Amino acid sequence: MTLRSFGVVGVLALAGLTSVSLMGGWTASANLASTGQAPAASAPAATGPFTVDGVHSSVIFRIKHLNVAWNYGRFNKMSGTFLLDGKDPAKSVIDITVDASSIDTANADRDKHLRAGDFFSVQEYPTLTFKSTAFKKTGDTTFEVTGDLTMKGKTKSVTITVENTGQGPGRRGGEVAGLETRFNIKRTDFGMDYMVGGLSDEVGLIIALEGGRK
Amino acid sequence: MSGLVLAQADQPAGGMDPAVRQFLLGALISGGLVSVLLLATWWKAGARQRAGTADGSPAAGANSAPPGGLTRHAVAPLAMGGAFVLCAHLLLGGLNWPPASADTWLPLAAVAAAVMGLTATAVRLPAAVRWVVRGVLVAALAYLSLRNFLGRQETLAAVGYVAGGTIWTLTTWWALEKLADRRTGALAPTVAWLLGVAVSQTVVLGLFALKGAVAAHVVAAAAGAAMLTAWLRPGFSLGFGGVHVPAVLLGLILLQATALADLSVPHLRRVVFAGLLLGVPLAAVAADRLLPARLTGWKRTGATVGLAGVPAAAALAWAGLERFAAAEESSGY
Repeated sequence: MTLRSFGVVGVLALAGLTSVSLMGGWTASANLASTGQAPAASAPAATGPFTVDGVHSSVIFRIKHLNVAWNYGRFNKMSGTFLLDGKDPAKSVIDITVDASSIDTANADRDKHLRAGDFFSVQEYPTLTFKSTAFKKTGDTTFEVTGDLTMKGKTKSVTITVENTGQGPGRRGGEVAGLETRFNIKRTDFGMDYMVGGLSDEVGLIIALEGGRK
Repeated sequence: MSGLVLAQADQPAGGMDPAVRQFLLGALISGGLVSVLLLATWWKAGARQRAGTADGSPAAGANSAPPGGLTRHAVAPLAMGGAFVLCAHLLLGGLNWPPASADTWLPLAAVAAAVMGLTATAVRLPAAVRWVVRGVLVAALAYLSLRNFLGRQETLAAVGYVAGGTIWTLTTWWALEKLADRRTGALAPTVAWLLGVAVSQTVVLGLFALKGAVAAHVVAAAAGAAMLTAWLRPGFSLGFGGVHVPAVLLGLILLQATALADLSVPHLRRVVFAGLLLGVPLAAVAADRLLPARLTGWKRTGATVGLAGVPAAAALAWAGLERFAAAEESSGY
């Protein structure tokens, strides 16, 4: 969190909106707007991208153990922005960052191993990112999205199907939207090459995001 | 990615635990290959020199010509380095160029150490030059392999990691070389094997580094092959470059596991692990110097290795207790 953000949290605390800020739902400029101050950005916010709400978003993965059963885990912290524009796909964007150290597989020892050098090596590579590079509308609510997926310092272009799962008014004003995508990757493509065989090379990912904008 | 990856082939449902399979394959490939090469090279020499003491004959001094010829001494670093590169290819995720994550530098470190070992059989540089070259090599490997990690640390911490890893490796290198240069036989290989096993088990139990543990296990298996050779051919010596590969690899493996361990592992514990493991070769050197001269042969080797095993046992005991305490909370995995 930047020094400026700390200041914003302080203003929000006085206004009784700390909980909203702590939920990470909106950007600092949006919060400033809610206090009646002038927004920092000059761009029209209503058409801008949605800021990921980490509390209501999920990044889930599955990997096959001993070639018999899928085991599921998740990342608990993520941030970023997205916009799926059906009328003008060129304006669409997905830019998300996942905190690799927030991995959670419901087993503390396993999580320690996953955070260490054998797998995510979070002290070398603290984040996983996806940045879209091209959008193509394929249905009423679906898009074919090409983007750069970066894990463990290696970037690979992937093409995924993204569904716009909804858009509407937020509980505290503004607007919220959601998207979901499910796709598979080969972890060895990203230098995560340990214990393939015991743990499958193929990893399934489900990314379901909710974001808000004022 | 390399194509041939033994332990990474799709396995049938169930079957042997993949980690156990990697440890077994690492021991078989590294130990087997190094045993064959060392025994083939030293068989005749050992028979000729067997008339000496059963173990622990004074070896040629550091500045003498290597006994048994240059070729024979060149086999140990080449076999150990080659075995490690082969195991990295087959078991540890393949060979990557350019190396990216920390562990992908280990095969390069093996090659560099093997080349230095090979050079040591032919050229005996002045001690000061030798240690400067070694220090530069180890510091460069430490920095390059951890550069992504070091870039996220405070300057002092980054310098501490590189300096600490370099000092650990050079001290281990000095101690193993001292043992190998002073005596023929099983002492130096046994201490190298003990250190390899201790590093392997400490990093997996205490630092959650299974890949590093397999890598150290591969090094230990190579040292074990040298130990076997020494038992069968007492004229065998790891002097003149034979300890370069285990010293460099074990130092780098421990440094990487220490740096990249999960944040939940306290820093003090990491430092104590490294200190206890460094105590293994140092205790061996101290014991070799302090034990009475009348203690010779296998008894001397046994007593020396026994004393060197004390800090190794302490490191393993602490790592094991921490792991089992944690396992009770999270029911293992």
